[in-house]
Amino acid sequence: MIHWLAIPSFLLFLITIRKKAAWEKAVALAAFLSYIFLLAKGWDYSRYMITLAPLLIPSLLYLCSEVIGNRRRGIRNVFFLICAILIFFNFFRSRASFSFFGSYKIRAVENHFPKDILRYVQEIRDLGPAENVLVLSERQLFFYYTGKNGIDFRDPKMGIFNRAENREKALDILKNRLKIKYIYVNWQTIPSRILQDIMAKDCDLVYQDTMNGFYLYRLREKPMSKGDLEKYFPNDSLLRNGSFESWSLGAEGLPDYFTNNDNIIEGMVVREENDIRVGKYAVKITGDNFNFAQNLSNAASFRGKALTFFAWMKTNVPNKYRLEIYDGVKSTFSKRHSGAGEWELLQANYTVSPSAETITFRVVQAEKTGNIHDVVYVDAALLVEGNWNTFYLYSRRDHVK
Amino acid sequence: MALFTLQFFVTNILFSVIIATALLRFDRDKTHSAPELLMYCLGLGPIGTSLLLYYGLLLFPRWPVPWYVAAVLGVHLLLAIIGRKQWLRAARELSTTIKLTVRKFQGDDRHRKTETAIFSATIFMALTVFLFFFLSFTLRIPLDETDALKYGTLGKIFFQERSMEYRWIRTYPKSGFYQINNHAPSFPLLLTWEKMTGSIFHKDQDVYYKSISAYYAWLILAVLLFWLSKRSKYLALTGFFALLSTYPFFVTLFQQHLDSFRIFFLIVSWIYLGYAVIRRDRLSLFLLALFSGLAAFAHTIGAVVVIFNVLAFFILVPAPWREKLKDTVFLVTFIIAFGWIHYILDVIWGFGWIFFKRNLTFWG
Repeated sequence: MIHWLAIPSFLLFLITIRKKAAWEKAVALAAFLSYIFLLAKGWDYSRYMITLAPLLIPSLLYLCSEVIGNRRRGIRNVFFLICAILIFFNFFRSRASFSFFGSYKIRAVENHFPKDILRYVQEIRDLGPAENVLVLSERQLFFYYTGKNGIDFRDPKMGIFNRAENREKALDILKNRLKIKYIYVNWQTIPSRILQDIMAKDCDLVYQDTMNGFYLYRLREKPMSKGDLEKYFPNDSLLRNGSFESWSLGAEGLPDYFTNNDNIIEGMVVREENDIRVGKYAVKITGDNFNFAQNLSNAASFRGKALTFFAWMKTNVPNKYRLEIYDGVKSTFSKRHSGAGEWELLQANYTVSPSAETITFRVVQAEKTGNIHDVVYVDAALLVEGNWNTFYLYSRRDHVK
Repeated sequence: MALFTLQFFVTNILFSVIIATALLRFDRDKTHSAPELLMYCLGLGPIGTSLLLYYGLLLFPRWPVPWYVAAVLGVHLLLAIIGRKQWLRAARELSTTIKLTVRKFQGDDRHRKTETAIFSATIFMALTVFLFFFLSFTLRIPLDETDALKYGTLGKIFFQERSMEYRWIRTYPKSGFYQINNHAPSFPLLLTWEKMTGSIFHKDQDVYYKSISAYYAWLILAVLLFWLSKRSKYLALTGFFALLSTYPFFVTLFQQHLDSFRIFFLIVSWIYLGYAVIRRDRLSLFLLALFSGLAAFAHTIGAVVVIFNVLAFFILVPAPWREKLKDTVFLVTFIIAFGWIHYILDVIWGFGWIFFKRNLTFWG
């Protein structure tokens, strides 16, 4: 707004330039050239454009006060009233930013700083002097706080990795040439497709800070054997018919063991035979307001225990669908599906309340879009005891508070 | 907090006052107002320290830390000796200004008194609210801002290596820290200074470094209030809130960043551009060179903008060509000495400022 107001003031200055003193012309010329330079450098970048505000604001006010001069008090009052309205408007326009900044920087909400993962990295003992952490973060916390050896993702050294043709070669370069042992990643930095693959298939997620979006992965020294896989991955799911293979009521009815909680009408939930993730069938849910759920029969025996609920979902509606665990006392949710039209593995971790009487697992909409034709596919739902983590799942929306 | 208070008082207040009094010595005609100069000079203590460290680490690398601290203190002691007779003048002018203000207030009509009271109370309240939040919360949160961390890491490296060579590299092989940065190192050197003085007391902290943004934001507000209140106190308050209502400026009061730091020197350089053209005295010209050089030393934007200052001065100063040329050479020489030198060295030996992108690595 200040910059817009500067234009008529500058024109006024040009019109009256003959009456202006040399010093006024000098300052105006320097400011004008600076203004053009800043516009060229980053006209839409507020941090650059604020440079001239401490000069423009007093100049504008000075100019206005000169124009008003010693006229009647009424005119001056109107001028100050207009100024007050403009100031209020400026505050109001940026109210969301002020409010966010207030909680983040002024009141310094504790959990906005990823201190635990930084401490974890600091205390890593198995990182030799020649071994490195690959750092994927624009937020330069790693180098300032941890004192560990790293390789920044923008470092020209990474060129050799970025040029690798496939995952196997890239992994070899990462391990043997760049001597990377850990990968430290922040959600704002999107890894390359090959690196995402490596993180998913050749790494263990050793620490995560979901609030601030920081993840630490450790590269496995050798691929997992079948025995290892069995040790690491659960075989028994507490959820019944999670692969949606049993449909005693037929293709148009609900899959076995799942309930509709009264808000799913006929035709909303159907068996899907083409778009599937595992087995022969998946479930296809159409609608804008539903509650597709399964209740755990022996809820009391899980009181105080940690549970993890996984399910693959596919939809092209952004940020609408997610998983929920509800125990009659409180709920927890997974991230939302990005809506990219791909199968995404969602996960909800939960510790059951000590007074829980019931435990329900739901596929729900996080927000209504108003479109009753929105479709989501669900398959391979899994419920396991303990606190489990999927591989790196990128979802920008979930980290924006 | 005790160490922070000491660092803040010595660097921001004591050094600044010393520089101001040394400058007043060269105001032979007494055309400069001591309180006004003192206000602008409050920004010189920290960046002056950075400049001294810059030359120290550049010309005498890898000396023990106490030597650098002693050198900075020594230079300020020398300046204090130069300006020793001006302390009295500054104090006298300051007390006269205060007395005049009080006397004027007593003699004012009711309307003027109300205006002054509203003005003072508003500024006092704003400052109190700010200090409450700043000291209770903001100063206690860890350093966490992309640029502040980047400059902070550089500052730490300068402290560890006690050399300025590193300034011209992109990757620091000892930790892998990688930076894309074209700016002069004045801001990181404030952390280096904090670490150096802290190491004498066996303390490792970054509180002083975190306070810089807010300090310079208040100095900018003070300059704005000073100029507008000459016209009207209400106008000054309007300007005060108008500037605060711009979100990017407001955040400089609480953020750990260098925006207010770099903007302050530009603003004051424009003020002295005006003075240098009106008065054409040596001190105004020197102060224009000083603040322009420091604006360049603070940020690349400053380095470019001060070229416009020189251009505007050269074109518009009402003097014969020969005088113009002489004054401009004087101006350019001191601008280079007070900060632009970094960019020249960077273009010749470094990664090339904004022109080249050499990928240099030292200390590997």
